[in-house]
Amino acid sequence: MKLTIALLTLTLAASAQTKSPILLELFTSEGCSSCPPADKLVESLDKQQPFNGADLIILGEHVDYWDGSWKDRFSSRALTNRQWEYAKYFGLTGVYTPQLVVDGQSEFVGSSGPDAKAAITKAIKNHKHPLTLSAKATGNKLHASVSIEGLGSKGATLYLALADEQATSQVTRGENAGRTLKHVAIVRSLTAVGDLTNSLTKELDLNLPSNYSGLRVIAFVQDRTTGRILAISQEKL
Amino acid sequence: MRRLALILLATTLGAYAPNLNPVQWKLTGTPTKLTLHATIAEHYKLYSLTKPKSGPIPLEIKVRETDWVPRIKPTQPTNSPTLEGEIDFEIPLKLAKPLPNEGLTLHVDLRYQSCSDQICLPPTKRELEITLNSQSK
Repeated sequence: MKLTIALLTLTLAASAQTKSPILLELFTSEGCSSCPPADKLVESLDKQQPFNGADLIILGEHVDYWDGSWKDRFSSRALTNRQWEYAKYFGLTGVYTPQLVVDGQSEFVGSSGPDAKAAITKAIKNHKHPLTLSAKATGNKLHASVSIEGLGSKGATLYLALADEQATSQVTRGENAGRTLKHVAIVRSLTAVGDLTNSLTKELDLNLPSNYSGLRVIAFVQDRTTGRILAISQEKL
Repeated sequence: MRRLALILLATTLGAYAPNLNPVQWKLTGTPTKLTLHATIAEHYKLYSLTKPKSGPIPLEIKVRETDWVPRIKPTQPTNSPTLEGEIDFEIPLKLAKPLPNEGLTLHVDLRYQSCSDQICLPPTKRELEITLNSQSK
């Protein structure tokens, strides 16, 4: 019995250690009628974590080009610009919503479960560099410490994202008028912290977003040439 | 694995690759009429000149005013808020002055939004140009 428990513990520990952190970026908007199914898919993936070999880290990135009839309170031009950067990486002539980007390497319609499964299964096989992240909130400030070694990249950028755990909006105008929309891991800020090629240790002090309830701090390193996510870690406060 | 199957079942099946340029435009015309032809890709809809109730950006067709062409209000052959397939917008012209010998170049500015049943594209702008002369039919 003891041996069985020990083996089970070892198996679980090994499983936890071998889980590959994978970044899922959902480009979405409360003003887009096609987006709620994608929000729902991402919420399910976040909550259920249904892939044995993957630790799915979500970023809900609300773009601002649907803000005409309904102003999405989470939208920003910076996130729209990030989506256009991905369009360049993927050789696309434009952007659309909902779009899901997995590890900076695959993009597809954000509500497509089969495409998500294929992209995540592929991403699990890619090696990620270890990234150490610790974060602590004091008052309206966040102190974060990020460390990465042995990256060996020709050029990469370290990003730090702050995301709300979840949020609900009652939409009263626009294409989703009358709907109650639920989001998870909504990006409140995304900061390019610095460039690196090999190793980096950084101490950061950031302002916390206003009116947040449950915060996720996500640090990730992205290759500037290919868009690939090379390392990523998440802390929940 | 059962959780994964349930999630996948609850989401879109048969997603197709997004068409990021689903509306093709062609402008033809004579000194008395312009015809704007739209070809809308399969699975996609174009929001029409009729302003939708719930927010999407309606189609705008603006013929730039010149000394020859005063302000024109284009019409569409249907009141439907969305358009699919092939459609012609007829724009009658009544020139204020005779056609110049070198021809008359007109510019038409378009702004529109299109969606499929799975994705929506941002508001798009297009500029079309046509030169009319006495041989234009």
